[in-house]
Amino acid sequence: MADLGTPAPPQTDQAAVSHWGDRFAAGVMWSVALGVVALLLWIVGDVLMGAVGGGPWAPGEGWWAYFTAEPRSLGVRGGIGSVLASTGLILTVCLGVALPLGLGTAVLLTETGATRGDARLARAVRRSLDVLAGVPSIVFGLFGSVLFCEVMGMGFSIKAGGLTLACMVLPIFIRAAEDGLRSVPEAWRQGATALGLSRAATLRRVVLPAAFPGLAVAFVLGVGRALAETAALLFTAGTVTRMPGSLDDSGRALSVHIYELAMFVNGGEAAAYRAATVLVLLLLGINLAAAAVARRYVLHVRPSA
Amino acid sequence: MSLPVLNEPDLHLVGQVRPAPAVAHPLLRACCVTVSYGGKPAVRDVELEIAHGRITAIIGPSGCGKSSFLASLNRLTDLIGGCTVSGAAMLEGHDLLAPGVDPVALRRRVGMIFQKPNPFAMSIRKNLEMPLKANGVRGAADRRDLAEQALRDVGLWDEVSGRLNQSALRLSGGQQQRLCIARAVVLRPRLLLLDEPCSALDPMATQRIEELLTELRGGCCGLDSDEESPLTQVVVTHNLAQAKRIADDTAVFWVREGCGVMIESGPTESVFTHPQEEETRRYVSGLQG
Ligand SMILES: Nc1ncnc2c1ncn2[C@@H]1O[C@H](COP(=O)(O)OP(=O)(O)O)[C@@H](O)[C@H]1O
Ligand SMILES: [Mg+2]
Repeated sequence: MADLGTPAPPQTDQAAVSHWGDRFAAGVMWSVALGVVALLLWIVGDVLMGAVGGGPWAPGEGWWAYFTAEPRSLGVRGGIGSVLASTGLILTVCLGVALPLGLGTAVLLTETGATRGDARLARAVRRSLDVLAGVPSIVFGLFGSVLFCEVMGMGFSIKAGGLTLACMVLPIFIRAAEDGLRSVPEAWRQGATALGLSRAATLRRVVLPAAFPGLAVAFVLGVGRALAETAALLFTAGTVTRMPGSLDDSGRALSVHIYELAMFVNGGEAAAYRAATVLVLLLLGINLAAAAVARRYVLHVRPSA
Repeated sequence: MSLPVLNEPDLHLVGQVRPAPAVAHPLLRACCVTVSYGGKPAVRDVELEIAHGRITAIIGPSGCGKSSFLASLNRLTDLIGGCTVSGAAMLEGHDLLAPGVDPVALRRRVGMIFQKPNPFAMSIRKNLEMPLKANGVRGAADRRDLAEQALRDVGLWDEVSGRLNQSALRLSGGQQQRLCIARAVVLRPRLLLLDEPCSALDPMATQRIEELLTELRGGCCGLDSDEESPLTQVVVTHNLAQAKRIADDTAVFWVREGCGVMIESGPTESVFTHPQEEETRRYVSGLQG
């Protein structure tokens, strides 16, 4: 090391090459990253332009009327009030079922498993979930329309749509929630147990709070998937644009509204763009809100450095 | 992070340290304790008496089953899949290892401190108050008082009293470990198990912990009582000098025929100066291990 007799190795060509190699690799990565951002901006921009270029939708009324008025002329005119209401109700049913079930399953998968039987069951559940997560949504839609609409007699209804969506969202939510729970250090579980906390108390007071950011991510993934879904809702929640009176009524979700306008309604493009803008902004808002909540929480519970 | 208090002399501690009781009656008696993983014993047939009000050190090379034995004493081994424990460990007339024993209740009486400090990702205050709440201390004022007392007991109060609502993870390693000891001690255990509590700490922090342990042996306050009572401790350590400094009794574990065994135990003084076993003699003179 301290051999002063030999001169320091000169900057060889090889070093220079690897230097340029690094630069090139960094350049490629930057362009890919910028490409992703550009793609997102392009999509959002296209949707916004389409919405703005479509002209006024409800002459004589303020822009907020768009969010309260019912669609008229197959949705080309009027607002999306009833569609938003249906979307909200479908989402509520979906999350009301998927969140408790999913969280319970994720806990089962991570917090138990001391015995052989547990481990085997967990493996079987995990494999099923991976398969389910890959099933196309149209298949879920057909399944839901048979099980909920026909066999269980719900017909085209918000209830059936929400339950079908729940089936679809569950595998994604469970795997994400499982990741969140798994990221909680084993030392905290051990520490809590050693302090005389029961398993339930350890879960409630230590594990779940620590897993909160991960669970928030799982929530966003689930909601995102549910909001964006069209195929699974066409055959279950239906396409009726009336304001729903109860969960047994049929209702048109926002994504279905966009689909119908774009595919089947003459001159519906502008309206489709408008609705798409709302959907994109909604998704964006949920993402940002969850990220903000998770970040604040992380700052609060984890060391700064 | 700076550790202002480490530079202060700990004079207030000196007066409080009481000598260990000379006549030792056992608080805990392990009979034939064997810990196995997947049917294969990791440590076998441990016969050991833990004297009341004293500090017992467990020393020995890595992999001889010290941690496994220690974890069996408050049934943390229950958490490990495939781990079985046989034998008996009598604490005040009850066998801890018996199937009928409620491990949750047991763990309040037998606390455990780990090698890596493991405060929860909560504020300093909540780290102390949450276990109290979970263990049935109802009044918020009571929890507050007990938490403060516990922090005083471990000498953390002056260091953290101004930032009780900050995350405990911002404390230094030594402070974190003392917080962990505080939160175990406030539940007023009869026995405290410590698995290499200083291995992850620097020498100054280690010295603080050692002083704290000898002080706690003399007595500490906690839940259920204002009266000080001695805290019996079992400390696993790789640091022979530490065992000599703080332990009244020492047990030596070794690997024989691929399985951990306890090869000798007795007062620290005699284990270190007149070891009965050849392995102990070489180990304590630093020749092996
Ligand atoms: N969770 C576990 N699963 C399987 N084997 C284990 C486990 N923990 C410890 N062992 C085995 O038990 C033996 C004793 O380990 P341990 O009690 O950690 O020893 P020590 O604390 O003295 O270093 C080792 O051989 C180790 O491989
Ligand atoms: Mg160990």
